[in-house]
Amino acid sequence: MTGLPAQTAPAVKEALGGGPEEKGGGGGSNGWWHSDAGEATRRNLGLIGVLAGLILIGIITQPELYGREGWWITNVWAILKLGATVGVVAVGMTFVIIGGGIDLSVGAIIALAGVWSTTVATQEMGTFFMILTALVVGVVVGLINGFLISYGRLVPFIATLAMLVAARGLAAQISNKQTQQTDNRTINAIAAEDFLGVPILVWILAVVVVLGWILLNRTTFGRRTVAIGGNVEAARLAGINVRLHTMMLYALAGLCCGIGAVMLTSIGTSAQAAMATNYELDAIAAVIIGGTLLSGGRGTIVGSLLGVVIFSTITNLFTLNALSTEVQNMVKGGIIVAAVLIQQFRFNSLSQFFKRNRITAAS
Amino acid sequence: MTESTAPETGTPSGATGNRKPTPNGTTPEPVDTSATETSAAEPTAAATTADGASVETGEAGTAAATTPPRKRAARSPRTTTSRARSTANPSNETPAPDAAGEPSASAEQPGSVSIPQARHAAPDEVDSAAPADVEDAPGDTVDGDEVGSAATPVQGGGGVVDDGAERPVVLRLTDVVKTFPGVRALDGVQLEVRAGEVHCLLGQNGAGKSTLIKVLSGAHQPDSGVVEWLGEQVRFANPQAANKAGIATIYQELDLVDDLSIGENAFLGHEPKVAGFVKRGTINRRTREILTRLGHGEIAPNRMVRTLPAAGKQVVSMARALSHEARLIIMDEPSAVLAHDEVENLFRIIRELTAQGIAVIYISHRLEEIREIGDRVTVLKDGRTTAASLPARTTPTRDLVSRMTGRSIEYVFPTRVNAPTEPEELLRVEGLGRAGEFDDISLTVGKGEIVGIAGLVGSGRSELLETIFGARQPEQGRIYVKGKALRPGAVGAAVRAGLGMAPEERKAQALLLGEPIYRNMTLSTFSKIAKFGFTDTGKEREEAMKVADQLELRPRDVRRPVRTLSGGNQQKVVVGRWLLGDTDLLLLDEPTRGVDVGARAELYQVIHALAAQGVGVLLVSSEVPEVLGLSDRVLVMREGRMVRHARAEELDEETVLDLVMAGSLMEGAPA
Amino acid sequence: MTQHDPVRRRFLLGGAALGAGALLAACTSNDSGDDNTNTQTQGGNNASPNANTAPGKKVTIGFSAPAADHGWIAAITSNAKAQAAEYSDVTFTTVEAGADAAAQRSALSTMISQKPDVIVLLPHDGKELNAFGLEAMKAGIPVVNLDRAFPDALAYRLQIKGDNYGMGVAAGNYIAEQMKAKGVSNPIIGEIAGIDNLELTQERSAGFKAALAAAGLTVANRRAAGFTVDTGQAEMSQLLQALPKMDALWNHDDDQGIGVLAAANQANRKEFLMVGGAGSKAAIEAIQADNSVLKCTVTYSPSMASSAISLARLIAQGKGMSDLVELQVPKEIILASETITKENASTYLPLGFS
Repeated sequence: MTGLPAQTAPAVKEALGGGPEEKGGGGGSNGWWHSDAGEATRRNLGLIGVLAGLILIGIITQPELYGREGWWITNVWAILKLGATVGVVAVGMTFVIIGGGIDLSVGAIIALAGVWSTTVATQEMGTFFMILTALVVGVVVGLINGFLISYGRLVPFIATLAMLVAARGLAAQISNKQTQQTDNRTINAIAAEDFLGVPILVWILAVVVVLGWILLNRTTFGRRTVAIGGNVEAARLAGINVRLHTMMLYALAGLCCGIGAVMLTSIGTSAQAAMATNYELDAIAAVIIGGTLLSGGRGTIVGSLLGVVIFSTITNLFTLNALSTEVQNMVKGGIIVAAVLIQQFRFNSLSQFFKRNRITAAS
Repeated sequence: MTESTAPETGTPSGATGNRKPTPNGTTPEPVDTSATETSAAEPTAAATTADGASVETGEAGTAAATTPPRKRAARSPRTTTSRARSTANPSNETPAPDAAGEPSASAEQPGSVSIPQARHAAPDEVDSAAPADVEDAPGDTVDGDEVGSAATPVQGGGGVVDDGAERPVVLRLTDVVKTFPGVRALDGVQLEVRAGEVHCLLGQNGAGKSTLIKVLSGAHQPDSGVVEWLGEQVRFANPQAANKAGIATIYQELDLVDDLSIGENAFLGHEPKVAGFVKRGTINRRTREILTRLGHGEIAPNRMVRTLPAAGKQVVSMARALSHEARLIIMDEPSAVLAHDEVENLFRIIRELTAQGIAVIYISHRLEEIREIGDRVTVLKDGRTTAASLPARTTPTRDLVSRMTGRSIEYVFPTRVNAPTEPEELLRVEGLGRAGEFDDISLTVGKGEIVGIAGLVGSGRSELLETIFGARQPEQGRIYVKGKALRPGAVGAAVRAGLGMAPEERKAQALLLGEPIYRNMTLSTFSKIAKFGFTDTGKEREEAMKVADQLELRPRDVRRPVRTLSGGNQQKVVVGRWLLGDTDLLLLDEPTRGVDVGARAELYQVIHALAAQGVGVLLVSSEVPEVLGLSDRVLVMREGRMVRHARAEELDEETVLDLVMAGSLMEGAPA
Repeated sequence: MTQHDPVRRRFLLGGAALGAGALLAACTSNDSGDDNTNTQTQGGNNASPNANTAPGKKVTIGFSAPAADHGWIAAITSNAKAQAAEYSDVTFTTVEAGADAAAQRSALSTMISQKPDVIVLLPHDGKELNAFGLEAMKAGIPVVNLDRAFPDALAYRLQIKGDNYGMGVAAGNYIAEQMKAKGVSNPIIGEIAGIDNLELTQERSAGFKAALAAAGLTVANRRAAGFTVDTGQAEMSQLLQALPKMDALWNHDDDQGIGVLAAANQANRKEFLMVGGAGSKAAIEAIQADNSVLKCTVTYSPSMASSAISLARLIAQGKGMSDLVELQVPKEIILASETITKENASTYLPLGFS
């Protein structure tokens, strides 16, 4: 960044809330809001602030409930359990979106994996095979998505949209359009039992988030993902196998869906072709709120998790106050818009603001 | 075919005072109308002797029929272009060796001198820069005369200075500056366009032509400088405003609606209407009129644009411009999408337009087109006007080229120490070809050797590099690295074989701008540095730090995002990426584009140092001195073919420039 | 993940995919169990043969219902099919109704051209397909309208439907009665509704509210789910947080009720009594077993499809219902919403759908 002309610099800084003692007169090229890592942290802190605000509203509006012995902890678990499945899916979605793609088929994959793993034949093969079936179905469908996108050169939006339709169709075919209940105790225990005082669903979410975080931030897989999403040509010319990696990203999303299918089957003690409807929208919304660029190249797992938790907290808040679902959906829509607007403000308005000032100063 | 200016008369320089009525008193402002047609014939005779000025008005065709043979000859290049060129042009492009040195030497001077002037001078002084350019012109025309063209002599000198005087200036740009974040796209542009002329804009990719078009068409607003349109200072808020004022732009990617008819496209956005209903009949009638004006009355106005070939769409674009009563039409590489015979048709239309007094700004990479259709040329380089209003037909190629590519900066090349004489072979390319890009290219690069490829944009050089690197699939030929055949079309295989590439478009093709420096440097090695798939950022930073020190990267803090670096330092990051790996052969595509002088010298040193360590370097640059100064061996590419292969010391800049450019002038000449 | 050997990895992936395919293909079977899904509904009709079941004139019945995304609709189609198979004189043809009203209309227009003797139709939307009903009736083909009413009385020969409002009333009455019996003076009552935009959901909730109001009770918290298990579970899990103690709950739909019950189990909540809706086989079995909070369900039975086929056959053959004096089938039949409790569960079990 070049220096601002001396006469406008103070005004700009004042508008930014920066102190006049800031040195360099460069509009703060080293300012914390310019550092990418700081930016992500800042945004996540903002999301935590939103979350805290929502919880505060809950406490204010329902003091009686929060005053009950031990109620608040069950409420925390209820919120986290409500978001657990979408959370797991959102981790996979975060990878896909950071890698420059999108996966609209996640809900359908969950339905297919859930239905496939709860057919009578599979159920007869036992718990292990039920879980394995769900995971393998998820990965295989994800690989098909990835193959179509990487090697078939389909636009991700179209490939996964087609898969959304097709996978739900197959799920309906397999289930004969009926709800397949499971009486498998182990499966059903996943949603019902605690481990070390924490619901197993929450454990699963936590493990997936931690593994996802490590995968994204500490492994070559994550690095490749960021590189491909950030500049696919640069990644390709650096020798990264972009196609193979892109395929793996969708397989990873599929795996997350497989896990999600097991969770959701357990939660409902059943699977049906219509399960996990609109999960793709919930997951994408959470990822966007979490600050992941829809164009790829930048994003955080923690942000996505916060996005999911904010959504389930809103649902919880509205239920506690017996408010209607319509208003709840309106608020959710508003939160998506607000989150994206905040991002745009940070990255565009501010720099444009700078530009304008510099130009008028120059002329 | 009307009032076509003879080459010499159509090449006015930026003489001062050209807005005022001309000394010889002929029609001061009639140019764009046919009002003075009848009187025009008369003054021409005087004009040819006095200043060759007024030839352009009136029915030149009929006038020519009655004027003496000499004058007819002067006019002929317009109507019978190929013959005209075959007599006049070769004399200009291939001057005698002794004469060659002089113009090019003088070309450098005005080039380098005019830059500071252009930037800081007041408008009047800018014009004074032009006469400096003009000095070349008489010299050339004298050359032309020697060869025996009857057309050129006296008017050549006279015409250049005074000719434009009585054609009114429609557009004048003075010191126009336009900046984008991090780039000064226009850095003091001067431009003067007269009614009824074809004014060519010449410049390399990135010289600022597109930005200039956008400023003229109202898509961008200049940061500073003056734009005068029809004598008034203007500022177009948007393209509509420019359109309304009479400036129409025909972009390369024609902005037509395929599923509307020709007429609907021509009047898109300003349809004649009655109470909200479009008057289809009026549209079709007026479109037919316009098409007839363009010499294409045979095209039905209600035909769908989708069904037209590229050339036809171009005609529609021009019809749209005329529907706006445009007085200036800007054409951005209009010939790029056309076949050869279609280009002739385009030129015919352009002549029709200029005959009606409409000014045309014509942008092209193809010099031969500029020779054929252009009246005057303005050359841009790095956002500055390096030469204003040169005569299009007579300015020697070398001058134009040196102003496009030429040395606005000093090249400081480090001394090449122990260049290998018989190096061990690293890369061997045999008969490599891709249709439409390059053909039958064979070359070798040895260990520790620097091989340079000289060629213009579009000569296929970048495509060649990308094909060797596996980013494009070759259609013919083989690539061997250290004697082993390389899997074609696989970047990964190339990287594993020890190849590395710094691509032409640094930001678009090589960098993750938001990511820290070290991650950009380790982009192709982080997997090797990693343990069991886990990245080791500490080690990455350490390694990147070493390379940063070696390359004298500034700033040194490798955690900073790459986008905060200057162009030169960004290039160092890209080169550094391959230093980190076990790269044996480095492919560098325009390594110094957009890099400042200091960083250039450093990059040169880096390249030499790499070669000294035994790395083979294959380098592409459009800056001939750079190729010559850096390389041990030089390959010259033109239009996808290798036209020369020699040791660097056997070549000089002129020879290479001739090879690079001349071909494009020769091409098409026999047609 | 390493980059060193992509070829080998690709092979492994391929192998895994193939193996998985083989394994999974084996698991799609739903038939090796012992529950026969399609045969449970016609018991009631077969139990008392009467004069009308005797074979008569051969008739063709055309049938159309929306693609099933939900157990109840699936049951409608399978019930209709099964009932038609009971009659030797009925030829049963069906057209896929597609995804929406427009698709169903175009499918039905081909059916008109085939000239069936009678059409049985569950429209996507009664209002949108009203015109089709008129068209078919004009063409001389009687239309039997199932469940979703045509606004125009000329558009159908017979309308047979459930009673959504009555369903809510039945649920409300049952809860009010039980609360009174238990002596709960100021009970906390929850409601998990279906998709809120649907008229049927609104009617059910209105009936429920009215019946409770008659007993001086109100709904403390009402959530709208999506007629699916997972939405039922999600809404219930939050409702349980909002109502730490609940006395009674009405869940509109037994399919989503699976999720509602799961949520209750997962939260370990048993202090309330739950009333279901529609009358699925699983719900009736649970009521019979009396081992969960589900004590009752109010019917909105897909058995109406079976009845519709029977009546369509009579219409086509020009017969009346034998127990009625009239010589023709009546124009409108509204099924009463029945209340299934432990006591009468066994009677209703054959009508339950899965």
